[in-house]
Amino acid sequence: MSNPKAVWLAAVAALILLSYFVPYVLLSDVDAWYGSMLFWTASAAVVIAINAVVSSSWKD
Amino acid sequence: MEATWIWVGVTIYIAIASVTAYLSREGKQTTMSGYFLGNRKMGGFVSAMSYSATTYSAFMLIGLAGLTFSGGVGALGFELIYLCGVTLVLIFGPRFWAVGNRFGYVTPSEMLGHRYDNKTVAVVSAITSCVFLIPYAAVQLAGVGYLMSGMTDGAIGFTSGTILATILAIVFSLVAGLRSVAWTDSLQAIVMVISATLVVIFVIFALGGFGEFFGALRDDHPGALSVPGTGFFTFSTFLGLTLPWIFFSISNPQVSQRLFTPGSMKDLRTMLLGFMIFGFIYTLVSVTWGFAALIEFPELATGDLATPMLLASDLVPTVLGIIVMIGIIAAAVSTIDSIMLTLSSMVTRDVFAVTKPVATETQQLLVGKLALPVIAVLAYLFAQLELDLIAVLSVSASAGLLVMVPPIIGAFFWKRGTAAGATSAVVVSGVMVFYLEFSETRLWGQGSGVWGLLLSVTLFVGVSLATKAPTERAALFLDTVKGKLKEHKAV
Repeated sequence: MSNPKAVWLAAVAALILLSYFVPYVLLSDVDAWYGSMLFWTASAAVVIAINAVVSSSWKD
Repeated sequence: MEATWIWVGVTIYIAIASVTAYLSREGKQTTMSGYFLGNRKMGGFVSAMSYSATTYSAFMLIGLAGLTFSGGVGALGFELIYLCGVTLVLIFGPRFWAVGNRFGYVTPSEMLGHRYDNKTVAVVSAITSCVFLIPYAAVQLAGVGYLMSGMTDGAIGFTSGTILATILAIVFSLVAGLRSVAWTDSLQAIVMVISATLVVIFVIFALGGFGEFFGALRDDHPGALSVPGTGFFTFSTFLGLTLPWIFFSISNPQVSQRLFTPGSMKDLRTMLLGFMIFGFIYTLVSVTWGFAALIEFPELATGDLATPMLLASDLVPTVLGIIVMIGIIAAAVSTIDSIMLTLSSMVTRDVFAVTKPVATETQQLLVGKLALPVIAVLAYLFAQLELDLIAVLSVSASAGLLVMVPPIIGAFFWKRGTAAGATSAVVVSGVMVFYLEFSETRLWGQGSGVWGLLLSVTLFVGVSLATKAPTERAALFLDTVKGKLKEHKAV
Protein backbone atom coordinates (compact mmCIF):
# COMPACT_ATOMS: atom_id res chain seq x y z
CA MET A 1 0.00 0.00 0.00
CA SER A 2 2.08 2.89 -1.28
CA ASN A 3 -0.80 5.36 -1.08
CA PRO A 4 -0.68 6.95 2.40
CA LYS A 5 -4.43 7.61 2.30
CA ALA A 6 -5.07 3.91 1.81
CA VAL A 7 -2.97 3.20 4.88
CA TRP A 8 -5.10 5.62 6.92
CA LEU A 9 -8.30 3.98 5.69
CA ALA A 10 -6.92 0.54 6.52
CA ALA A 11 -6.15 1.84 10.02
CA VAL A 12 -9.80 2.86 10.43
CA ALA A 13 -10.96 -0.58 9.30
CA ALA A 14 -8.53 -2.18 11.76
CA LEU A 15 -9.78 0.00 14.61
CA ILE A 16 -13.39 -0.96 13.84
CA LEU A 17 -12.47 -4.66 13.93
CA LEU A 18 -10.57 -4.14 17.18
CA SER A 19 -13.66 -2.42 18.60
CA TYR A 20 -15.33 -5.84 18.49
CA PHE A 21 -12.37 -7.96 19.48
CA VAL A 22 -10.75 -6.03 22.33
CA PRO A 23 -13.86 -5.36 24.51
CA TYR A 24 -15.32 -8.86 24.04
CA VAL A 25 -12.10 -10.82 24.36
CA LEU A 26 -9.45 -8.85 26.22
CA LEU A 27 -11.50 -6.47 28.37
CA SER A 28 -14.57 -8.55 29.21
CA ASP A 29 -13.43 -8.88 32.83
CA VAL A 30 -12.41 -5.25 33.30
CA ASP A 31 -15.56 -3.80 34.84
CA ALA A 32 -14.38 -0.17 35.17
CA TRP A 33 -14.19 3.11 33.23
CA TYR A 34 -10.64 2.32 32.09
CA GLY A 35 -11.82 -0.85 30.32
CA SER A 36 -14.06 -1.02 27.24
CA MET A 37 -15.39 2.49 27.84
CA LEU A 38 -11.94 4.04 27.49
CA PHE A 39 -11.02 1.78 24.57
CA TRP A 40 -14.08 2.68 22.49
CA THR A 41 -13.81 6.39 23.31
CA ALA A 42 -10.11 6.56 22.41
CA SER A 43 -10.61 4.56 19.18
CA ALA A 44 -13.39 6.90 18.04
CA ALA A 45 -11.23 9.95 18.80
CA VAL A 46 -8.40 8.49 16.70
CA VAL A 47 -10.79 7.75 13.83
CA ILE A 48 -12.04 11.36 13.87
CA ALA A 49 -8.43 12.58 13.74
CA ILE A 50 -7.73 10.30 10.76
CA ASN A 51 -10.76 11.76 8.98
CA ALA A 52 -9.37 15.26 9.57
CA VAL A 53 -5.96 14.26 8.19
CA VAL A 54 -7.23 12.48 5.08
CA SER A 55 -9.73 15.19 4.13
CA SER A 56 -7.16 17.96 4.63
CA SER A 57 -5.93 17.48 1.06
CA TRP A 58 -9.38 18.11 -0.52
CA LYS A 59 -9.29 21.08 -2.91
CA ASP A 60 -12.02 23.04 -4.67
CA MET B 1 -43.33 18.12 36.02
CA GLU B 2 -46.34 20.41 35.47
CA ALA B 3 -47.94 20.04 32.04
CA THR B 4 -48.32 23.84 31.91
CA TRP B 5 -44.54 24.34 31.90
CA ILE B 6 -44.15 21.87 29.08
CA TRP B 7 -46.75 23.68 26.99
CA VAL B 8 -45.07 27.05 27.67
CA GLY B 9 -41.74 25.58 26.52
CA VAL B 10 -43.31 24.02 23.43
CA THR B 11 -44.96 27.32 22.48
CA ILE B 12 -41.65 29.22 22.73
CA TYR B 13 -39.92 26.52 20.65
CA ILE B 14 -42.60 26.64 17.93
CA ALA B 15 -42.33 30.44 17.77
CA ILE B 16 -38.53 30.53 17.46
CA ALA B 17 -38.33 27.61 15.03
CA SER B 18 -41.09 29.06 12.82
CA VAL B 19 -39.25 32.39 12.57
CA THR B 20 -36.03 30.50 11.72
CA ALA B 21 -37.82 28.50 9.01
CA TYR B 22 -39.35 31.68 7.58
CA LEU B 23 -36.00 33.52 7.53
CA SER B 24 -34.29 30.61 5.77
CA ARG B 25 -36.26 31.21 2.57
CA GLU B 26 -34.20 32.45 -0.34
CA GLY B 27 -36.34 33.49 -3.27
CA LYS B 28 -38.93 31.16 -4.76
CA GLN B 29 -37.69 27.63 -5.40
CA THR B 30 -39.03 26.33 -8.69
CA THR B 31 -36.70 23.41 -9.36
CA MET B 32 -36.36 20.03 -7.71
CA SER B 33 -32.70 20.60 -6.78
CA GLY B 34 -33.52 24.09 -5.51
CA TYR B 35 -36.18 22.79 -3.15
CA PHE B 36 -34.80 19.40 -2.13
CA LEU B 37 -31.06 20.13 -2.25
CA GLY B 38 -30.89 23.84 -1.35
CA ASN B 39 -29.63 24.49 -4.91
CA ARG B 40 -26.48 22.42 -4.09
CA LYS B 41 -25.15 25.51 -2.34
CA MET B 42 -25.39 24.61 1.34
CA GLY B 43 -22.66 25.96 3.63
CA GLY B 44 -20.43 23.65 5.67
CA PHE B 45 -21.52 24.59 9.18
CA VAL B 46 -25.27 24.46 8.56
CA SER B 47 -24.75 21.19 6.69
CA ALA B 48 -22.83 19.74 9.65
CA MET B 49 -25.44 20.76 12.20
CA SER B 50 -28.29 19.62 9.99
CA TYR B 51 -26.60 16.29 9.28
CA SER B 52 -26.20 15.86 13.04
CA ALA B 53 -29.81 16.76 13.79
CA THR B 54 -31.05 14.43 11.07
CA THR B 55 -28.95 11.51 12.28
CA TYR B 56 -29.29 12.01 16.02
CA SER B 57 -32.91 12.07 16.92
CA ALA B 58 -35.18 11.12 19.75
CA PHE B 59 -33.54 7.73 19.34
CA MET B 60 -30.27 9.06 20.67
CA LEU B 61 -31.31 10.74 23.88
CA ILE B 62 -34.14 8.36 24.74
CA GLY B 63 -33.15 5.16 22.96
CA LEU B 64 -29.40 5.21 23.56
CA ALA B 65 -29.77 6.34 27.18
CA GLY B 66 -32.35 3.56 27.56
CA LEU B 67 -30.05 1.02 25.96
CA THR B 68 -27.27 2.04 28.37
CA PHE B 69 -29.69 1.71 31.26
CA SER B 70 -30.70 -1.79 30.16
CA GLY B 71 -27.42 -3.15 28.81
CA GLY B 72 -24.53 -1.05 30.10
CA VAL B 73 -21.45 0.18 28.27
CA GLY B 74 -22.12 -1.93 25.15
CA ALA B 75 -24.47 0.91 24.14
CA LEU B 76 -21.45 3.22 23.96
CA GLY B 77 -19.53 0.77 21.80
CA PHE B 78 -22.51 0.36 19.50
CA GLU B 79 -22.88 4.09 18.90
CA LEU B 80 -19.15 4.83 18.59
CA ILE B 81 -18.69 2.02 16.08
CA TYR B 82 -21.43 3.69 14.06
CA LEU B 83 -19.50 6.97 14.32
CA CYS B 84 -16.32 5.27 13.07
CA GLY B 85 -18.39 3.95 10.16
CA VAL B 86 -19.09 7.54 9.11
CA THR B 87 -15.54 7.39 7.71
CA LEU B 88 -17.36 5.97 4.67
CA VAL B 89 -18.20 9.62 3.91
CA LEU B 90 -14.49 10.15 3.40
CA ILE B 91 -14.71 7.68 0.52
CA PHE B 92 -18.25 8.16 -0.76
CA GLY B 93 -18.79 11.85 0.07
CA PRO B 94 -16.61 13.25 -2.74
CA ARG B 95 -17.96 10.59 -5.14
CA PHE B 96 -21.66 11.34 -4.50
CA TRP B 97 -20.92 15.06 -4.61
CA ALA B 98 -19.02 14.82 -7.90
CA VAL B 99 -21.59 12.74 -9.81
CA GLY B 100 -24.46 14.74 -8.30
CA ASN B 101 -22.97 17.93 -9.73
CA ARG B 102 -22.12 16.36 -13.06
CA PHE B 103 -25.37 14.48 -13.75
CA GLY B 104 -27.86 16.54 -11.70
CA TYR B 105 -29.10 13.76 -9.42
CA VAL B 106 -31.66 14.78 -6.81
CA THR B 107 -31.93 11.42 -5.00
CA PRO B 108 -29.52 8.54 -4.34
CA SER B 109 -31.95 6.14 -6.03
CA GLU B 110 -31.97 8.33 -9.14
CA MET B 111 -28.19 7.97 -9.12
CA LEU B 112 -28.45 4.17 -8.99
CA GLY B 113 -31.03 4.12 -11.79
CA HIS B 114 -28.77 6.22 -14.02
CA ARG B 115 -25.58 4.35 -13.15
CA TYR B 116 -27.11 0.94 -13.91
CA ASP B 117 -28.91 2.41 -16.92
CA ASN B 118 -32.28 1.12 -15.78
CA LYS B 119 -35.19 3.03 -14.24
CA THR B 120 -36.51 -0.03 -12.42
CA VAL B 121 -33.47 0.14 -10.14
CA ALA B 122 -34.47 3.69 -9.15
CA VAL B 123 -38.12 2.75 -8.59
CA VAL B 124 -37.25 -0.33 -6.54
CA SER B 125 -34.74 1.43 -4.29
CA ALA B 126 -37.12 4.38 -3.78
CA ILE B 127 -39.96 2.06 -2.73
CA THR B 128 -37.67 0.03 -0.46
CA SER B 129 -36.59 3.26 1.23
CA CYS B 130 -40.23 4.17 1.89
CA VAL B 131 -41.06 0.73 3.29
CA PHE B 132 -38.26 0.90 5.84
CA LEU B 133 -38.03 4.63 6.54
CA ILE B 134 -41.67 5.32 7.31
CA PRO B 135 -41.42 3.01 10.37
CA TYR B 136 -38.16 4.75 11.24
CA ALA B 137 -39.92 8.13 11.17
CA ALA B 138 -42.70 6.60 13.25
CA VAL B 139 -40.11 5.64 15.84
CA GLN B 140 -39.22 9.30 16.21
CA LEU B 141 -42.86 10.25 16.64
CA ALA B 142 -43.26 7.58 19.28
CA GLY B 143 -40.21 9.08 21.01
CA VAL B 144 -42.01 12.39 21.41
CA GLY B 145 -45.09 10.63 22.73
CA TYR B 146 -43.12 8.67 25.34
CA LEU B 147 -41.21 11.74 26.43
CA MET B 148 -44.18 14.03 26.90
CA SER B 149 -46.26 11.48 28.76
CA GLY B 150 -43.25 10.38 30.82
CA MET B 151 -42.35 13.88 31.92
CA THR B 152 -45.87 14.94 32.84
CA ASP B 153 -46.92 11.65 34.43
CA GLY B 154 -49.45 11.15 31.67
CA ALA B 155 -51.06 14.63 31.90
CA ILE B 156 -50.04 15.12 28.27
CA GLY B 157 -50.86 11.92 26.43
CA PHE B 158 -48.83 9.86 23.97
CA THR B 159 -51.19 10.82 21.14
CA SER B 160 -50.95 14.59 21.73
CA GLY B 161 -47.16 14.38 21.54
CA THR B 162 -47.16 12.44 18.29
CA ILE B 163 -49.74 14.74 16.65
CA LEU B 164 -47.71 17.80 17.60
CA ALA B 165 -44.48 16.37 16.13
CA THR B 166 -46.26 15.36 12.90
CA ILE B 167 -47.68 18.85 12.33
CA LEU B 168 -44.35 20.56 13.01
CA ALA B 169 -42.48 18.24 10.63
CA ILE B 170 -44.97 19.03 7.85
CA VAL B 171 -44.71 22.80 8.43
CA PHE B 172 -40.90 22.96 8.62
CA SER B 173 -40.40 20.99 5.44
CA LEU B 174 -43.07 22.83 3.44
CA VAL B 175 -41.82 26.38 4.18
CA ALA B 176 -38.63 26.24 2.10
CA GLY B 177 -37.75 22.59 1.53
CA LEU B 178 -34.22 21.65 2.54
CA ARG B 179 -33.29 25.21 3.51
CA SER B 180 -35.97 25.51 6.21
CA VAL B 181 -35.27 21.96 7.36
CA ALA B 182 -31.53 22.62 7.58
CA TRP B 183 -31.86 25.89 9.45
CA THR B 184 -34.36 24.59 12.01
CA ASP B 185 -32.14 21.51 12.34
CA SER B 186 -29.11 23.68 13.10
CA LEU B 187 -30.99 25.67 15.71
CA GLN B 188 -32.03 22.45 17.42
CA ALA B 189 -28.58 20.86 17.24
CA ILE B 190 -26.77 23.81 18.78
CA VAL B 191 -29.26 24.32 21.62
CA MET B 192 -29.29 20.61 22.27
CA VAL B 193 -25.58 19.86 22.44
CA ILE B 194 -25.06 22.72 24.89
CA SER B 195 -28.03 21.97 27.14
CA ALA B 196 -27.52 18.20 27.10
CA THR B 197 -23.89 18.65 28.13
CA LEU B 198 -25.01 20.97 30.94
CA VAL B 199 -27.31 18.22 32.18
CA VAL B 200 -24.32 15.87 32.41
CA ILE B 201 -22.36 18.42 34.43
CA PHE B 202 -25.28 18.97 36.85
CA VAL B 203 -25.96 15.26 37.24
CA ILE B 204 -22.34 14.25 37.81
CA PHE B 205 -21.95 17.07 40.32
CA ALA B 206 -25.16 16.07 42.15
CA LEU B 207 -24.01 12.46 42.31
CA GLY B 208 -20.70 13.45 43.93
CA GLY B 209 -18.29 13.72 40.97
CA PHE B 210 -16.83 11.22 38.50
CA GLY B 211 -15.17 9.10 41.21
CA GLU B 212 -18.45 8.53 43.04
CA PHE B 213 -20.31 8.08 39.76
CA PHE B 214 -18.15 5.23 38.48
CA GLY B 215 -17.77 3.85 42.02
CA ALA B 216 -21.56 3.52 42.31
CA LEU B 217 -21.71 1.76 38.95
CA ARG B 218 -18.95 -0.67 39.90
CA ASP B 219 -20.35 -1.49 43.34
CA ASP B 220 -24.12 -1.51 42.72
CA HIS B 221 -24.28 -2.58 39.08
CA PRO B 222 -21.61 -5.17 38.32
CA GLY B 223 -21.25 -5.76 34.59
CA ALA B 224 -22.45 -2.27 33.59
CA LEU B 225 -18.98 -1.23 32.45
CA SER B 226 -18.01 -4.36 30.52
CA VAL B 227 -19.40 -6.53 27.70
CA PRO B 228 -21.17 -8.94 27.64
CA GLY B 229 -21.46 -7.63 31.21
CA THR B 230 -24.98 -8.22 32.50
CA GLY B 231 -25.66 -10.45 29.52
CA PHE B 232 -27.78 -7.98 27.52
CA PHE B 233 -25.09 -7.32 24.92
CA THR B 234 -24.16 -10.81 23.80
CA PHE B 235 -21.76 -10.72 20.86
CA SER B 236 -24.45 -11.61 18.32
CA THR B 237 -26.79 -8.91 19.68
CA PHE B 238 -23.94 -6.41 19.47
CA LEU B 239 -23.07 -7.45 15.92
CA GLY B 240 -26.72 -7.40 14.83
CA LEU B 241 -27.11 -3.86 16.22
CA THR B 242 -23.84 -2.39 14.96
CA LEU B 243 -23.60 -3.84 11.47
CA PRO B 244 -26.52 -1.88 9.96
CA TRP B 245 -25.28 1.29 11.61
CA ILE B 246 -21.72 1.07 10.26
CA PHE B 247 -23.21 1.54 6.80
CA PHE B 248 -25.89 4.03 7.89
CA SER B 249 -24.15 6.99 6.20
CA ILE B 250 -24.50 5.47 2.73
CA SER B 251 -27.50 3.15 3.17
CA ASN B 252 -29.92 5.75 4.55
CA PRO B 253 -31.03 8.13 1.80
CA GLN B 254 -31.97 10.97 4.18
CA VAL B 255 -28.28 11.32 5.01
CA SER B 256 -26.64 10.11 1.77
CA GLN B 257 -28.77 12.63 -0.15
CA ARG B 258 -27.03 15.32 1.91
CA LEU B 259 -23.80 14.41 0.12
CA PHE B 260 -25.26 16.12 -2.97
CA THR B 261 -25.91 19.41 -1.15
CA PRO B 262 -22.64 21.11 -0.02
CA GLY B 263 -21.56 24.10 -2.09
CA SER B 264 -17.90 23.01 -2.27
CA MET B 265 -15.45 20.31 -1.18
CA LYS B 266 -14.47 22.54 1.72
CA ASP B 267 -18.12 22.60 2.82
CA LEU B 268 -18.26 18.82 2.48
CA ARG B 269 -15.21 18.51 4.74
CA THR B 270 -16.71 20.87 7.34
CA MET B 271 -19.91 18.82 7.23
CA LEU B 272 -18.05 15.56 7.83
CA LEU B 273 -15.76 16.73 10.63
CA GLY B 274 -18.38 18.95 12.28
CA PHE B 275 -20.75 16.01 12.40
CA MET B 276 -18.16 13.61 13.82
CA ILE B 277 -17.20 15.95 16.66
CA PHE B 278 -20.85 16.63 17.41
CA GLY B 279 -21.62 12.91 17.40
CA PHE B 280 -18.74 12.11 19.69
CA ILE B 281 -19.90 14.59 22.35
CA TYR B 282 -23.54 13.65 21.97
CA THR B 283 -22.82 9.93 22.33
CA LEU B 284 -20.86 10.39 25.56
CA VAL B 285 -23.63 12.63 26.89
CA SER B 286 -26.43 10.14 26.13
CA VAL B 287 -24.55 7.21 27.64
CA THR B 288 -23.82 9.20 30.80
CA TRP B 289 -27.54 9.95 31.10
CA GLY B 290 -28.31 6.26 30.90
CA PHE B 291 -25.78 5.43 33.61
CA ALA B 292 -27.07 8.25 35.82
CA ALA B 293 -30.59 6.87 35.53
CA LEU B 294 -29.28 3.40 36.37
CA ILE B 295 -27.68 4.73 39.55
CA GLU B 296 -30.64 6.86 40.61
CA PHE B 297 -33.66 4.87 39.39
CA PRO B 298 -32.56 1.24 39.05
CA GLU B 299 -36.16 0.01 39.33
CA LEU B 300 -37.51 1.59 36.12
CA ALA B 301 -39.82 -0.72 34.17
CA THR B 302 -38.29 0.08 30.78
CA GLY B 303 -35.09 1.74 29.54
CA ASP B 304 -37.11 4.19 27.45
CA LEU B 305 -38.16 5.90 30.69
CA ALA B 306 -34.56 6.59 31.78
CA THR B 307 -34.30 9.99 30.10
CA PRO B 308 -37.75 11.34 31.07
CA MET B 309 -37.19 10.29 34.70
CA LEU B 310 -33.75 11.87 34.81
CA LEU B 311 -34.91 15.17 33.31
CA ALA B 312 -37.89 15.40 35.65
CA SER B 313 -35.80 14.55 38.72
CA ASP B 314 -34.25 16.87 41.30
CA LEU B 315 -30.82 16.27 39.80
CA VAL B 316 -31.59 18.63 36.91
CA PRO B 317 -32.78 22.26 37.32
CA THR B 318 -36.39 22.58 36.11
CA VAL B 319 -35.67 25.15 33.39
CA LEU B 320 -32.81 23.08 31.99
CA GLY B 321 -34.98 19.96 32.09
CA ILE B 322 -37.66 21.74 30.06
CA ILE B 323 -35.14 23.11 27.52
CA VAL B 324 -33.72 19.63 26.98
CA MET B 325 -37.14 18.06 26.79
CA ILE B 326 -38.20 20.55 24.12
CA GLY B 327 -34.81 19.89 22.45
CA ILE B 328 -35.62 16.19 22.24
CA ILE B 329 -39.01 16.92 20.69
CA ALA B 330 -37.19 19.19 18.22
CA ALA B 331 -34.68 16.39 17.60
CA ALA B 332 -37.46 14.02 16.65
CA VAL B 333 -39.02 16.64 14.39
CA SER B 334 -35.67 17.40 12.73
CA THR B 335 -35.20 13.74 11.87
CA ILE B 336 -38.76 13.24 10.66
CA ASP B 337 -38.84 16.30 8.41
CA SER B 338 -35.57 15.28 6.73
CA ILE B 339 -36.88 11.76 6.14
CA MET B 340 -40.15 13.14 4.77
CA LEU B 341 -38.29 15.50 2.48
CA THR B 342 -36.07 12.71 1.15
CA LEU B 343 -38.92 10.25 0.70
CA SER B 344 -41.10 12.77 -1.09
CA SER B 345 -38.22 13.64 -3.43
CA MET B 346 -37.84 9.92 -4.15
CA VAL B 347 -41.54 9.33 -4.71
CA THR B 348 -41.57 12.27 -7.10
CA ARG B 349 -38.28 11.79 -8.92
CA ASP B 350 -38.03 8.03 -9.00
CA VAL B 351 -41.66 6.92 -9.17
CA PHE B 352 -43.87 9.77 -10.46
CA ALA B 353 -41.37 11.14 -13.02
CA VAL B 354 -40.69 7.63 -14.30
CA THR B 355 -44.36 6.77 -14.79
CA LYS B 356 -45.00 10.21 -16.30
CA PRO B 357 -41.84 11.20 -18.20
CA VAL B 358 -43.42 14.34 -19.73
CA ALA B 359 -43.88 15.98 -16.28
CA THR B 360 -42.07 19.32 -15.97
CA GLU B 361 -39.88 20.28 -12.98
CA THR B 362 -42.73 22.49 -11.70
CA GLN B 363 -45.19 19.60 -11.84
CA GLN B 364 -42.68 17.30 -10.13
CA LEU B 365 -42.18 19.86 -7.38
CA LEU B 366 -45.93 20.16 -6.83
CA VAL B 367 -46.26 16.38 -6.51
CA GLY B 368 -43.32 16.39 -4.08
CA LYS B 369 -45.02 18.96 -1.86
CA LEU B 370 -48.29 17.01 -1.92
CA ALA B 371 -46.46 13.80 -0.99
CA LEU B 372 -44.98 15.36 2.16
CA PRO B 373 -48.13 15.37 4.33
CA VAL B 374 -49.19 11.95 3.04
CA ILE B 375 -45.89 10.42 4.20
CA ALA B 376 -46.22 12.23 7.54
CA VAL B 377 -49.69 10.80 8.17
CA LEU B 378 -48.50 7.28 7.34
CA ALA B 379 -45.70 7.65 9.90
CA TYR B 380 -48.20 8.95 12.44
CA LEU B 381 -50.44 5.91 11.98
CA PHE B 382 -47.47 3.60 12.45
CA ALA B 383 -46.49 5.43 15.64
CA GLN B 384 -49.91 4.73 17.13
CA LEU B 385 -48.98 1.05 17.28
CA GLU B 386 -46.75 1.95 20.29
CA LEU B 387 -44.22 -0.82 19.62
CA ASP B 388 -41.68 -1.69 22.30
CA LEU B 389 -38.14 -0.43 22.81
CA ILE B 390 -37.41 2.42 20.45
CA ALA B 391 -33.82 1.44 19.67
CA VAL B 392 -34.63 -2.05 18.48
CA LEU B 393 -37.34 -0.92 16.08
CA SER B 394 -35.17 1.84 14.76
CA VAL B 395 -32.39 -0.60 14.02
CA SER B 396 -34.83 -2.84 12.12
CA ALA B 397 -35.33 0.02 9.67
CA SER B 398 -31.58 0.32 9.25
CA ALA B 399 -31.25 -3.43 8.73
CA GLY B 400 -33.75 -3.13 5.90
CA LEU B 401 -31.80 -0.36 4.18
CA LEU B 402 -28.58 -2.32 4.51
CA VAL B 403 -29.63 -4.39 1.48
CA MET B 404 -28.91 -1.36 -0.74
CA VAL B 405 -25.28 -1.14 0.30
CA PRO B 406 -23.82 -3.64 -2.24
CA PRO B 407 -25.40 -1.88 -5.27
CA ILE B 408 -24.25 1.51 -3.90
CA ILE B 409 -20.66 0.35 -3.38
CA GLY B 410 -20.77 -1.47 -6.71
CA ALA B 411 -21.88 1.69 -8.50
CA PHE B 412 -18.53 3.31 -7.72
CA PHE B 413 -16.17 0.34 -7.53
CA TRP B 414 -17.37 -2.46 -9.81
CA LYS B 415 -17.98 -1.87 -13.49
CA ARG B 416 -19.49 -5.35 -13.92
CA GLY B 417 -22.48 -4.53 -11.69
CA THR B 418 -25.80 -4.74 -13.53
CA ALA B 419 -29.38 -3.54 -13.13
CA ALA B 420 -30.62 -7.12 -12.67
CA GLY B 421 -28.01 -7.68 -9.96
CA ALA B 422 -28.96 -4.47 -8.14
CA THR B 423 -32.72 -5.04 -8.43
CA SER B 424 -32.64 -8.65 -7.27
CA ALA B 425 -30.30 -7.78 -4.38
CA VAL B 426 -32.61 -5.03 -3.12
CA VAL B 427 -35.95 -6.79 -3.68
CA VAL B 428 -35.16 -10.34 -2.55
CA SER B 429 -32.99 -9.36 0.43
CA GLY B 430 -35.42 -6.57 1.37
CA VAL B 431 -38.33 -9.03 1.45
CA MET B 432 -36.26 -11.46 3.53
CA VAL B 433 -35.37 -8.79 6.11
CA PHE B 434 -39.01 -7.74 6.27
CA TYR B 435 -40.05 -11.35 6.86
CA LEU B 436 -37.39 -11.93 9.56
CA GLU B 437 -38.39 -8.75 11.38
CA PHE B 438 -42.10 -9.38 11.02
CA SER B 439 -41.87 -12.96 12.28
CA GLU B 440 -39.22 -12.07 14.90
CA THR B 441 -36.99 -14.84 13.56
CA ARG B 442 -33.30 -14.94 14.42
CA LEU B 443 -31.60 -17.50 12.18
CA TRP B 444 -28.67 -19.12 14.05
CA GLY B 445 -28.94 -16.34 16.60
CA GLN B 446 -28.04 -13.54 14.16
CA GLY B 447 -30.09 -10.42 13.44
CA SER B 448 -31.89 -9.70 10.15
CA GLY B 449 -29.27 -7.17 9.03
CA VAL B 450 -26.50 -9.78 8.96
CA TRP B 451 -28.54 -12.09 6.71
CA GLY B 452 -29.88 -9.25 4.59
CA LEU B 453 -26.37 -8.00 3.83
CA LEU B 454 -25.00 -11.48 3.06
CA LEU B 455 -27.87 -12.32 0.71
CA SER B 456 -27.66 -8.91 -0.96
CA VAL B 457 -23.91 -9.28 -1.64
CA THR B 458 -24.42 -12.78 -3.02
CA LEU B 459 -27.29 -11.79 -5.31
CA PHE B 460 -25.68 -8.58 -6.51
CA VAL B 461 -22.44 -10.30 -7.47
CA GLY B 462 -23.98 -13.56 -8.73
CA VAL B 463 -26.76 -12.07 -10.86
CA SER B 464 -24.47 -9.30 -12.17
CA LEU B 465 -21.96 -11.87 -13.40
CA ALA B 466 -24.73 -13.74 -15.18
CA THR B 467 -26.13 -10.67 -16.95
CA LYS B 468 -24.78 -8.02 -19.32
CA ALA B 469 -23.26 -4.92 -17.75
CA PRO B 470 -24.16 -1.40 -19.02
CA THR B 471 -20.61 -0.91 -20.31
CA GLU B 472 -20.97 2.57 -21.80
CA ARG B 473 -22.83 4.06 -18.85
CA ALA B 474 -20.45 2.47 -16.37
CA ALA B 475 -17.48 3.96 -18.24
CA LEU B 476 -19.05 7.42 -18.35
CA PHE B 477 -19.92 7.31 -14.65
CA LEU B 478 -16.62 5.90 -13.45
CA ASP B 479 -14.51 8.18 -15.67
CA THR B 480 -16.38 11.16 -14.26
CA VAL B 481 -15.65 9.98 -10.74
CA LYS B 482 -11.98 9.39 -11.53
CA GLY B 483 -11.52 12.79 -13.12
CA LYS B 484 -13.31 14.69 -10.36
CA LEU B 485 -11.44 12.89 -7.56
CA LYS B 486 -8.15 13.81 -9.18
CA GLU B 487 -9.26 17.41 -9.64
CA HIS B 488 -10.29 17.71 -5.98
CA LYS B 489 -7.45 15.60 -4.56
CA ALA B 490 -9.75 13.10 -2.84
CA VAL B 491 -9.21 9.36 -2.35
